[in-house]
Amino acid sequence: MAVELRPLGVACNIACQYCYQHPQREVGGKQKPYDLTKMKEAIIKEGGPFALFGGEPLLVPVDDLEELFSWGLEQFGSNAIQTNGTLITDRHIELFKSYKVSVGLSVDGPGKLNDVRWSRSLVNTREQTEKTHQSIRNLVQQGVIPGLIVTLHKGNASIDKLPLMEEWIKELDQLGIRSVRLHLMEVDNDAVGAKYQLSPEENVQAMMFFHQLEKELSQLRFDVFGEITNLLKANDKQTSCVWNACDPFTTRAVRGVEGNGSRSNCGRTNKLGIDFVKSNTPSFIRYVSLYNTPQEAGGCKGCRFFMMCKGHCPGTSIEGDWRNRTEHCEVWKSLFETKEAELVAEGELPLSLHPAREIIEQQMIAHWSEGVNCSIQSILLKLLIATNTTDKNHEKTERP
Amino acid sequence: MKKPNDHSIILPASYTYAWVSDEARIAWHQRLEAANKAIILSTLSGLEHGNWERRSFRLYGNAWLFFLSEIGKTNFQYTSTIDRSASSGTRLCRTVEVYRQQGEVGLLGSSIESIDMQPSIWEAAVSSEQGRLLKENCFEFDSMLMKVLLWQDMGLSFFSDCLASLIDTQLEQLIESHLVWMNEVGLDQESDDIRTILTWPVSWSSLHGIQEIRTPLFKIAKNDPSYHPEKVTVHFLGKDLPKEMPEGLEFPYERSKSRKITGSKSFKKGMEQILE
Repeated sequence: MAVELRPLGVACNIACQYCYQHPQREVGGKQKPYDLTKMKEAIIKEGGPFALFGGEPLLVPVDDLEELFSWGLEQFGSNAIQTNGTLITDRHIELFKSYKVSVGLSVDGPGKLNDVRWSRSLVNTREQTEKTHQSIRNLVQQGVIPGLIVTLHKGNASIDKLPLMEEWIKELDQLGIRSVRLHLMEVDNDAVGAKYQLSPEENVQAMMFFHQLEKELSQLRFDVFGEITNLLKANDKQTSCVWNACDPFTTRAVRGVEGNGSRSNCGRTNKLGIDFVKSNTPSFIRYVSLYNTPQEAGGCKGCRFFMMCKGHCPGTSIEGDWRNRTEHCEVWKSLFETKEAELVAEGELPLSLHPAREIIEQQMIAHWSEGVNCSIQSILLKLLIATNTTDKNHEKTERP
Repeated sequence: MKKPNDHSIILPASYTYAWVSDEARIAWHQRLEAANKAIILSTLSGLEHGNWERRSFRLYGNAWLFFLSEIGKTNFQYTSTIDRSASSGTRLCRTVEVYRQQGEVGLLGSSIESIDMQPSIWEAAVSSEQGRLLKENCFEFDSMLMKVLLWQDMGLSFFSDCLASLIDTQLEQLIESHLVWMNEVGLDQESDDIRTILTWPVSWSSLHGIQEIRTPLFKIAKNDPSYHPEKVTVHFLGKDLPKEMPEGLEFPYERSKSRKITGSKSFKKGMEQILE
């Protein structure tokens, strides 16, 4: 798990309408200067490596970027950055190559499909979009293959827009892009939600569309479908944080380091506009609560996919309250059902239908009740060891 | 539509907290600990002085160890029990009664009410004439008693003598007399800090068996013995705010309704743009 390094906090050169960091910007004070030494000290204490984050990290002057990347390569052997791609220059690409920087780029599509990633006016927004796409082409040409993050909303994933997205995704596949992460739009503002958020049915439709499209692509993959399949196979080793019982007070998967060296949590859990200091005491009470709370009340009681989904990310919770399950439950459930059916058709028994599921659930609840998180894999291993031990003891007693 | 309320849902003990900033933690962590210790010290000195015959505390974690080290310097007797309903994980809660005179243990009866017997925050808000309904399931409240109970639950060991039977004016007099005593025995800073803390606004809410308490300096999440299938909220009003409190979007952090992003011309222009 990388450290998210944010020298400039949430400062950004564009203003995507749906950005989950807007709560912090709404009440934000003056931008404080960053301190390279304090940031490096904090990264070392956290155990590195780090990913340069924002807002938009390429607002950091290029000399300081080089210093950070050079240090990062020396310390950890690699670097990473998450950017909107509008500010990438040839100089930046040189740095990416020289210092082994993995590039993550956020964009929602070409032309009008990216209009929700707003920048002051329509003309300027379209210019920034074109810059991002030129950056993608430049990066690939220079041998730096970025991973993309695409957020789905009415601007790019309503049914009339999906053919255009298909065209674009196929172009990316041809270009050599290998990985696209699909995000369902997180809503922190009612007006933004009303204007841009897809309905659950539209989200399902869009996700199923991309799921089918993936089969036609030569190398590009949408990570979410593979993750859901792996979860159903009880393999949660390298699944993303949204499936792994994130505690919003500690956000284990995101260890934020700010420009002054202070620690912070994942911004998705920040609904108050305040960067609370990471707690020293993890708690998984959310998950014990969701397990016991009826679905009609915002919980997950009785859901056969709970072990895999766990109510999803607390930053996407119903009404922004982390004690509720995700507002996208219907979408995820639909995808889990689809992949479950595929596995059954292939002759496999997914975890959701496995007779051992309840035993695993009880083990997980017991761990969470003690303030400890664990993976499905670790529980299976313990059960396997316990079974083998029981079998061996049984053999011993049976020997003449 | 009312959601089903399953009173059989009881979550395991859990407690976690987060400071609003490192600056707030640095400025206040030791002051809060000092205030806690000062209450214990002043209570014992008050007993010594004959101000009162007995006193009670609800002590969490290290406050108990401090109490033991101080009571050992006196001849006072005391009783203590672990209050499981108020304990969370390793954060044990002990209810303690201290007696001035030898032989009074057990004779005067226990003055401490188990936390189970005290009204819940929500029950008090709903039934009190002081509570003002802001919107569905959200009350605004100006009760010193409930605020003291809330801070006590957060670890500031106020005396617990029959708190539930006191009315606000009685409690305010009780607190004021104790704080004046603290001034008399040289605990001026701690006395001032406690007065200050009690003027702060605090938000309490509960949903699905989890309470979240937001003070100007930190927020806490802990299990709630009362299960609410719909979120219930109580705002405890306060007239002062610590300078370390950051600006936020909701009570008690919201100082202004202005919004830099969603209130900006640029953002509004984007919202007016018709999707092609």
